[in-house]
Amino acid sequence: MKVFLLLILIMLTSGSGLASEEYLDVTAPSSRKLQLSIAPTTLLSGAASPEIGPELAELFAFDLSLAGVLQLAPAGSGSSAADLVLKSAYSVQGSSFTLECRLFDQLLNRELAAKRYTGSRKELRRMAHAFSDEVLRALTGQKGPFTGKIAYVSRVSGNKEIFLMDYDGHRPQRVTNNGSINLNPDFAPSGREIIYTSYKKGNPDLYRRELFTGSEARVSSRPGLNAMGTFAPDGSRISLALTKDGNSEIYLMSKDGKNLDRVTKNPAIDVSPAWSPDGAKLVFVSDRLGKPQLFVMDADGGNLRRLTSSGAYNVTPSWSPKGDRIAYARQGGGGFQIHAIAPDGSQDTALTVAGSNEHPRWSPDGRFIVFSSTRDGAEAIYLMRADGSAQTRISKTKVRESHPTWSTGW
Amino acid sequence: MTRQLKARYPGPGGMLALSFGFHLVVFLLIARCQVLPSFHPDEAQVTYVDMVTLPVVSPQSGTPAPTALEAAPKLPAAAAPVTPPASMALPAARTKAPGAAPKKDKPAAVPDEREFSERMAKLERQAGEKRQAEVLDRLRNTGRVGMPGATGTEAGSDYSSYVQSRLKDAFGEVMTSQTKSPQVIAAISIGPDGRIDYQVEKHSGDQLFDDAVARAVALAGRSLKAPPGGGKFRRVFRFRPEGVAVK
Repeated sequence: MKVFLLLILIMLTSGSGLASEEYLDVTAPSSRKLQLSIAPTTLLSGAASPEIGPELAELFAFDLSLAGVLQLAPAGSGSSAADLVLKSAYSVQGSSFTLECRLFDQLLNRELAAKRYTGSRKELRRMAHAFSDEVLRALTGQKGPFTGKIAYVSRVSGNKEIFLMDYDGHRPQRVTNNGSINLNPDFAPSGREIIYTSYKKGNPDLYRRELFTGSEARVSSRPGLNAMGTFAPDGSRISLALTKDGNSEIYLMSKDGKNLDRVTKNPAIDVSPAWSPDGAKLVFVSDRLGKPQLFVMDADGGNLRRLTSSGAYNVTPSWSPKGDRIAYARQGGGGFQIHAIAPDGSQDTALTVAGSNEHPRWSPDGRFIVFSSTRDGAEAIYLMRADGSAQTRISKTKVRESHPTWSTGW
Repeated sequence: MTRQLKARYPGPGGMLALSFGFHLVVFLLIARCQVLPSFHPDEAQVTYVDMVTLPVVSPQSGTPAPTALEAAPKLPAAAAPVTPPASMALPAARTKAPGAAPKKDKPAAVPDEREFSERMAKLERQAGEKRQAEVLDRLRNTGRVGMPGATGTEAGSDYSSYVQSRLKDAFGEVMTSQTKSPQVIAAISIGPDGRIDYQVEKHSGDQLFDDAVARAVALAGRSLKAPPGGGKFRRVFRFRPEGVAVK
């Protein structure tokens, strides 16, 4: 008893003093963005190309401003006041083009990243995006998404065809050219394959296409709808919606279309499955309670629960690669708006306001959301940060573009 | 037979002595086993002897320990007035007022809750006052404490506060983060030449924030004065955004 009392008294008289004196607190009232200065590009060897410097500066400025952790130093302020300095230099030898980029921390007097890229002159944009990825990796520990491609549906030819473009909307490339309706592209985790639904043989079937070789296979051609396919995070399975049994249900199958497993069994319409980043869960849309709402279940169909409880019409969910948010489109006010919600159903937040905004999909690092919007007239591709800030149009044409999805870096 | 019994009977005196001896043995046995209340030691007094011998926890000169001061308003109204802890004597042993009727001895009682909390508050106050008095004594008697170049008369002018202030200014200029409540714990060392160094004891998991701390240390180190007395300074600091609750 004596020892017990003694211990209590010691804790009361000296313990609190130790706790308060163990650390001295250093606090700052607010976070700010790091100031980045982009130094003029220099020529190392070969023939000078005056347009390279401004093009590089514009690329770095767009990528790194969008990232949200950096702020460009005002033009003419010089590099001495900035926290970071990005330096680049190039050399040209015949058709070979080499770009060297370095990132310096002026305060710590330390080089944070240094890369040399060799290729042709037309790869300049990709080289710059690749170094922007490295800048984000050096600053945040996580590589940027700027070398990823965006696949989308374009009506530039009058039909709905699948296209690819850089994440900033440059360098569009046609993927399909079948004169039919092609929808819902989704990248394999490697970024080298896509699956999409095409009506080119009459029925809406699911196709898988290797982007570098152009080879294509029809992986699901069951009667009725074979649509909204999404690759599992490990790339081994595909979730999709099939109507072969009458009403739309969620199924899983291997990437070659075999080993079909039915996941939902409900007389209602179940569509738009999307994987959690660990591949253990699926979020999907079902009208089993009357109106389309989001539901979450295990990948084998167990532990079903309703996710959204507000909004009369919630569709097209997409689970963040970080696992902490699910973006979706909610109908209201004559159109749709992008929302994001935590997987437990809390923190439901509207991210867009203007126009009608649909088909949200996350960037591979979870920093951005790409979506389609009608805010400027025709439906076009936009992107924004995960918190809804920095909403930026990336479509360069005035034709309708929709159903974007973002690949990992090439 | 009767003759044999009569031969063994020690007589009345012998029986008295035998009885006395037997009772003495029984009494001693009981006393040995501490059954009698009168043989209990007064444990309460011993408990508080140890309390006032607590070590003083104020590793940094010039930094008053706030615990005792903060505890003072919470004292019960009946607490004894504050007295200078000139000698950290034990609470006086219970003394009986002259002429007061002697109380019956009770078994050593554990103090009830109120008495216990009063004693504890009193002891806590005394320990804090002693700590504060020692710190003040040290400040008075030591010529080389406080911020370099200062007179030593300003409140809070110790070297730890000086370093903390410089770090806070620098941190305010470079703080950046990408998570909600990052926190870095780092040991800052400043050599006799004024050169600053730091070692992270606990990262935040947010690289932007970790690097911001590194930048703050580097920025503060540009204008730091060397520790007083030509010694080396080392202290652990916790860097965090303002207004974020500490776990």
